[in-house]
Amino acid sequence: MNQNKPGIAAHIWGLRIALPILLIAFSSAFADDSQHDFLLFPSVDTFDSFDESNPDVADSFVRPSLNVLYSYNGGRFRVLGEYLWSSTESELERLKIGWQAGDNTMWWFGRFHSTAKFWTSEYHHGQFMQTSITRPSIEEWEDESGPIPSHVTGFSLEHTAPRADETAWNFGLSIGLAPKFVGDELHAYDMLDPESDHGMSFNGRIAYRPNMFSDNQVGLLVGWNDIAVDSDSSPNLADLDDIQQATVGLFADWRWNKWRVLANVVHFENDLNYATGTEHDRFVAGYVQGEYQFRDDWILFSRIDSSASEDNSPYLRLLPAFVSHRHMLGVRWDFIDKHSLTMEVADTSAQGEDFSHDSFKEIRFQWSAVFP
Amino acid sequence: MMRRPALISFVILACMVANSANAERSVVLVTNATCEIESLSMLEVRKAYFGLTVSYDNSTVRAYRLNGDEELNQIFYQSIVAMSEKSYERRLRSMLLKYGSPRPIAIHEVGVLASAVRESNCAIAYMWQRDVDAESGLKSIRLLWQGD
Repeated sequence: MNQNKPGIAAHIWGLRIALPILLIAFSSAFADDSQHDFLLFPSVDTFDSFDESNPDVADSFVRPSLNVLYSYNGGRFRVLGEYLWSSTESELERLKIGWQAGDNTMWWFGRFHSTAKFWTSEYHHGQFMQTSITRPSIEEWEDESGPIPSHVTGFSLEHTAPRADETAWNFGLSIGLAPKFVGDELHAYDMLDPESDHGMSFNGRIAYRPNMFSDNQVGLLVGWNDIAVDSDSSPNLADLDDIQQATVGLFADWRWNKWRVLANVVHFENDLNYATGTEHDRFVAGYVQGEYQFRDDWILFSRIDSSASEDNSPYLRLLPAFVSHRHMLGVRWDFIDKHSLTMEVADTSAQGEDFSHDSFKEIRFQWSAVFP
Repeated sequence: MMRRPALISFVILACMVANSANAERSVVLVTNATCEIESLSMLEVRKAYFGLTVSYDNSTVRAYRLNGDEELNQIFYQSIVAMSEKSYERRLRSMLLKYGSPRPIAIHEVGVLASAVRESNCAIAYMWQRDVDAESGLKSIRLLWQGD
């Protein structure tokens, strides 16, 4: 994520937050039965666009990346960190310390991914774990024109209510600092710059699992974000003080034999508070992804990203690269145990600078893997 | 023709041999002999092997796997976690990615596994009954699988 670099004073403030977390982790390292775990997610993406309605949106790139996940468990404490390097960014994505209040309850403090984003909180930056190369547009990260805050810094609670028949209810709640609107995208709160001006974020999630050991689930997401605005960063943000965003969504991830469906539909209510008054905004966006495993290591998949009432949305006008419509088809081949090759083609429409969408077609290839 | 007392003795002896063979062909859940856990439900066993927290007396029950025995591995996937190896490994990675849940510790040799369980505070592992009988300092707390 391209953010302004914090000064030395801000780094010292950041260390005041990070050091206690690291000290607890290392002092607990000598606890009985402590355990460390790593996962590495390397990938290389290639992208090319063609048949663009606006020549300015033409693009192509090759992007290698490496995501490193670290977990420490010792006594009742848990530490989780995730760091992403790529040719375009280098960022600490998650760093949180957890305390187990019981077998089924965990409190967390730190920087984490929003509880109210389904795909994001399932796959995080583990590219190999998701079938497709692309993320659905409403699940995009802040620096990829995602409309919903992805990174929150604060407290979260996770609770599972298991039943003897192995069904379970999962509950998640979080409160923390929301991203800020700068230029033409959201910027997450930087733990190394804690004095920056950020509003609050409240998020919740309820999910039902017919079997607590499988991935099948359906659920409800709710979020409320007070998004501060840097009105000097873009002429489009002039006189805009802040944005209050409320979201309610329904999601499902279900498998039947060789078939799988992932879906999430989110209703947005945004209040854009200008110096001269408030502009209200309302739209719906979502996606449905279907997958079919036609051989042991081959998956055919397709996804439709779509929106309703987004054309005139004053909020989405601030996010010109937001993909409001995408019809995508892809195929994935898993090989040598922990490697995959994936191809996607799509017909895509981005929100654009005005009320007309920028349409283009795209083709992507990706190698991804996980170790160990 | 065999006399009745001799026939009865033969049947009893045959049952004893069969029972002994069955005991050797059974897979049991073990823990440290000094641990106060007397038994775990199958739900608790599965939770532990999926990286979910199972605690006893304020400490977390860590799960160990023996991955150097192919037949035992197949029994583990079929009878304990009830899914394919690929699905199970994927599920463990997913739990680690989402929640930082610890994956069961995989050990290749029985002797090393037995030592790890003896030295841990109420860790659990699955082993052939015959291997448990040959090791000291372990106790069986649940029958997980019984051979024909």
